[in-house]
Amino acid sequence: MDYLEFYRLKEHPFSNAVDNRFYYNSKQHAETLVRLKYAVDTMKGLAVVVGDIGTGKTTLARRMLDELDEERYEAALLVVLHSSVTAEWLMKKIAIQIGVKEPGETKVEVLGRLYERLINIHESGMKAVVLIDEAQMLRSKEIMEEFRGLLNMEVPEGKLITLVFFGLPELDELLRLDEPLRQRIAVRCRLTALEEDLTKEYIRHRLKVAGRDDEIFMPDTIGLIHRYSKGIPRLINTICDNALLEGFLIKENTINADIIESVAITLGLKSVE
Amino acid sequence: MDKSTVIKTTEKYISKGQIDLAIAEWEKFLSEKKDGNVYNLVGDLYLRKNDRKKAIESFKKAAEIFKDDGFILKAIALYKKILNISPKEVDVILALAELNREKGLTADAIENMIQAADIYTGEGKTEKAIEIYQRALELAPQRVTLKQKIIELYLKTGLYGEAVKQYLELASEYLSRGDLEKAKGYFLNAIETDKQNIPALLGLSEIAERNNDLDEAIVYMKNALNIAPDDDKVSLRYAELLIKKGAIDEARDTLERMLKLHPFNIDAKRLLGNLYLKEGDREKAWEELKPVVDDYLLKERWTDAAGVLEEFKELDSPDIRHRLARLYKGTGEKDKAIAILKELAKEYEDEGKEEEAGAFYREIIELDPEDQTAREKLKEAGAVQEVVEEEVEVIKEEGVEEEVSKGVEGLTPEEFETRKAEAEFYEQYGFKDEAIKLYEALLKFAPDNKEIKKKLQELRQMTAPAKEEATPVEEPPVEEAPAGVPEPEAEEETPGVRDEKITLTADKDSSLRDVILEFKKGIEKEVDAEDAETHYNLGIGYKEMGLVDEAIKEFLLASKDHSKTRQSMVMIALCHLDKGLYESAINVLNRVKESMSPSDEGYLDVLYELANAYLKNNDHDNALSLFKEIQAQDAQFRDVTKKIELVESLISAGKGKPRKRKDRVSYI
Repeated sequence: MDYLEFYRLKEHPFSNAVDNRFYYNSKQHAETLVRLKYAVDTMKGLAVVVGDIGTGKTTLARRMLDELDEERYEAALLVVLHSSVTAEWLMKKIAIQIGVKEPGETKVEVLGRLYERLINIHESGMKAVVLIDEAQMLRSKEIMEEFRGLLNMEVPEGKLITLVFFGLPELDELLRLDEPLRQRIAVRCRLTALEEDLTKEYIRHRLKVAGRDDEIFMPDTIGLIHRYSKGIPRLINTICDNALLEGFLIKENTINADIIESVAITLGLKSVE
Repeated sequence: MDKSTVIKTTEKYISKGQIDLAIAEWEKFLSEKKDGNVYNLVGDLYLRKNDRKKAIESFKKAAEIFKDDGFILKAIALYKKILNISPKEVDVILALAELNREKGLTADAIENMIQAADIYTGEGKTEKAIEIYQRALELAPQRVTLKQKIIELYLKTGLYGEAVKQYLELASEYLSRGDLEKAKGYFLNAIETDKQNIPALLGLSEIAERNNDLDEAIVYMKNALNIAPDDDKVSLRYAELLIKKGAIDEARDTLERMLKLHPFNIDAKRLLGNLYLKEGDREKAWEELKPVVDDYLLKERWTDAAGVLEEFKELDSPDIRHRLARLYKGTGEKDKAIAILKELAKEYEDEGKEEEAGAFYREIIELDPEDQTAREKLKEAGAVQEVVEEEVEVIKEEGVEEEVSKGVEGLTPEEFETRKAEAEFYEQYGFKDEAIKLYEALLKFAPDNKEIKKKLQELRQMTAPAKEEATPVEEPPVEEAPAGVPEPEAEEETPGVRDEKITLTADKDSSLRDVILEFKKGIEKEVDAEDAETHYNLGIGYKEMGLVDEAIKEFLLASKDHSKTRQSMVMIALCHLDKGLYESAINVLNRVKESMSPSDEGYLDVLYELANAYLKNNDHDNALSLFKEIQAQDAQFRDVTKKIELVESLISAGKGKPRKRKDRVSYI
């Protein structure tokens, strides 16, 4: 028997892998999504979402991608893994992701075909959107200039492509290095940590999706979880996941404060006196 | 103990959940033979028991063994595994830093060191933290945040001299970047720590001057002078400021005092000489400026030398005229030089100073070996010029002439047409800003080109409403470059100055040139072969440890080396499979397959992995087709026959349909 069986859960409720089924539509996430979609639908060009580690940027990006249905949007999500991405490579990637079959080799070819594709998308009544997660890793003035170039492609109704950057707060500093690009930001949102009451809702939501309607976590644990996680969803997941494992190992049917304290110490979130 | 027997025994224990017994068995094995892989296994078993402490101990032992045996990348992967469990293991972080440094992964090594030092700081182990920060600083001397951390620690531990040194370095760095605010901040920090710090006072003075606050600048220098009255740099700077302010008498006194202590200071002489000139005392001015002119001539600063000599031409003394001759010699005006030298030689001859006259005639011969007058005079005096020396002088002169004519030409007609075509391309596709940039650059080379002028005008009109957004060139290079452009008619006689202008021109146009070069080359940076091998092997190590994201990063780096691209892409696809990203894996493997031909080595391996990916994605038709293709080429290839049976049974059982939805997520 493992802890899923023990707690009568269908699946792991607190995995940190992005899974849209577990998406918790908090007020700030909901508002952010609305604003981003507004930016996309009105072809504003550039939107930026910043937030500290674990506040749900990637989740939001995935959610947004899901909500951009393929009938109306030619959308793509690029996740930046490494800061050594070059401007040329990035442009090619964007071109491929929005449907350019043969982007070409030279910059002239790539940009030309990208432009043609964007015009096609526009003429077919769709909108082109590129979401870029971990955008703060694109630390290159050259890349910023390329984005600026992309945002120069426009029609009377607006920009031919909307870029949405998701990144850590240092993304703001990066954008400050390219003032013309920064001025093009039409929508800017900031994700913050969850308050305690939202932390409770968040945990309850995830447990519900995983198949458990009633409480596993005792009321006095919520405050502790919120304290040690500082309201950051990723840390909430980590604490709760470990707490369930610990609870299972000591055969506790509900998670109490002692378990949370112990987990916090193990995870280095609380120093041992 | 036989390892395979131990493996079988422990597997049995593990399947029954008897982890302790499995561990005990392995530890018996390890008591006889130290094996890195086994320690790693034991670590994993301890993890399953949630005994992190013992797991980490075991992983550390594994890492040590791998390191000693030369499997550095495996050791790195293991250290990373430990840190995933327990991020604050300082000894592990430092060990990782060392290995990363050895492998040339400097950026990673620096991050590790900073991490370790931060932990020591948090624990109050200041000395250790300083030591680590210093090591990191050796690898990354320009990191501001690092310097700030180390400064804090220096101050805490009373190493004020070191702290001041760092403040000054930071201040200089910001000063050179033009960030006066920040530079001033750091200079002030230095002063707060060391009230008598001369470099800081000099820096603050410079900043005050740049901010047009001469009085403040002077106050700083006065303070500095009080501290170090014999410092020539301070005195000079003070004098310069006084001159700027118009406090001539005080400036003069300062310079005269300084020259008593430092009689050969050319800058001081120049300033004082100019002061005397302003006051109309040419004799005194010449005394001071003579060595300055010599210095200019030595450094081939012809314009500067000419500027000074011009002031004294009325004096008409031999030493002035001789220097003028040297100037003409340097600028290639042989005839003028010879004319003066002949005058001088004659004057000295008339005064009966044969030796001095002879020296002038020798100089004439150097300039013009065929000069009959000089040759005869020297023959009379019994001196003969060597042909070889003459040739050397001529060659040297020609070199100067070449240098003088360097860098005057603009674009070739072909380059011009190429750039014009690119500008037209940009214009056509709506990239107005880029088109304007290119046309502006072309106009500089061909200011009378009507076609380009017209295009620029039209484009500017089109972009006029959004002018505040479209800022063509706001980067520092434009701000640094003077408004002037290297006009061909502004010929420089001073190679040094010309070179400066040439440099400035290159900076201004570099962004444009880069665009053009990129059109022609347009391929991302190469990773050299050794690095690629390292990254590839590191990726394998990470993948083996289950650190898939790290593995992908390393394979991406390795893929930039063309010899490793294909292998790296296949590994990335396998990593995607590990993460359950089947469609991504399929995309990548298809691209690799398309880049190969059936006769290429490794083609069947790629087909096999692709077929497996389709299988995992429940696309049985494609999977079967590929397995059959493999079988047709090599029926004994791996377990292809079994795979075909499996897929056929799945198809007949009607399991699974390929996901239709397009994969819109991409990792870069």
